[in-house]
Amino acid sequence: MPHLLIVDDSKLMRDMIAACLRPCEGLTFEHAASGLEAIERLSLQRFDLIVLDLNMPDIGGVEVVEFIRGQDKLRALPILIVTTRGDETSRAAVLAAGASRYMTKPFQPDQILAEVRGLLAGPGA
Amino acid sequence: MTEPVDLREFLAGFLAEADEILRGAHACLLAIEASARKGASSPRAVRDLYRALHTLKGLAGMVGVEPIVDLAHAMETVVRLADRQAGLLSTAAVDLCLQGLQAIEDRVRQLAADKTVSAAPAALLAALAAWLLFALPCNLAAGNILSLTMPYHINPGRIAGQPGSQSSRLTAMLIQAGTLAVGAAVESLCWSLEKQWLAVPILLVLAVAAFLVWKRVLGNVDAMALERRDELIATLMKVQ
Repeated sequence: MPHLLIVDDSKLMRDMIAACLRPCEGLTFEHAASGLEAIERLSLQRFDLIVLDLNMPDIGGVEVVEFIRGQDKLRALPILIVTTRGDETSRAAVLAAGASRYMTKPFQPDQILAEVRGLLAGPGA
Repeated sequence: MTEPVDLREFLAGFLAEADEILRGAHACLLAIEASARKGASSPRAVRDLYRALHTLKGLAGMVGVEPIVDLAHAMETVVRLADRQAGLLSTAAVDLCLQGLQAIEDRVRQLAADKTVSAAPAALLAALAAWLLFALPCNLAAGNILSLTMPYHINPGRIAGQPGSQSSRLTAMLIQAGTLAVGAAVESLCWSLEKQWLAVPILLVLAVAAFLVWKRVLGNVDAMALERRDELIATLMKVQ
């Protein structure tokens, strides 16, 4: 049963993302409201995918990606960036840091659903 | 099979979170205004304001309230420029942002009352855009010159918090303060004359002048770099 970590400083946004993924049956979710909380959870539990915002109050999304890619046990964790920042610089920086996919808000429920299904299916799917 | 979600279901949640964000943004603006009156910057409050507007824009976009997206985006662009310039935001820009927040609050109330949400006020968006059009080329030109006269190594992936040259930072702050002072003088004059619309054409003229200055600086960058080549290489090698 895939276990997802949704990281965004807005509770409403976390709830919306979880609701969008409702049709993907069998998913279970945990939420983190900041980059620091995300890192704490990632250190304690195993996740199959992380949905990550970039703009957060303490540690930003890019730093969380760098942390994940720097840990042996997390290196293969798929990371879906979901952000309001649509500029190429932000996209290039976070993909260079090791994020798997990048999508901008606002998005349609079907879009994030397709991205999550694709990432959970793995690169060979 | 589960039905796809309709994000309009989250309108009630949006109203509650928007109210909270607006209260926080208002507090930030008041703190920025208090600092600006003393001629000081307030990087923390500017950063918090930027994040608040950014979050509000994202949420409004998700529930499809475009006038709030437009307003938050215009304000966010102005505040982001201030965030990149050590948190300097003029009192005139603060006034514009306070008007912007009020316009957003009005639209949140319309939404709560189940009324049609008014389009973002064109005059306010134009004033924010004109201010930005003037400030941006000034800062780009200053950045081009400073990168050659007071260079320091930059890692593009980690620009925030980069330990740069202190004199470069101080000079950048002074240039930004000058830019803001001109913008503030124009806005204040038009406000005092009760002709707020006049600020838009004046700032647009200044924007064209600033753009021409920047273009001229860009044309001379190669020559400046060549002239200072040895010094630049020595400095960059030392800082790395």
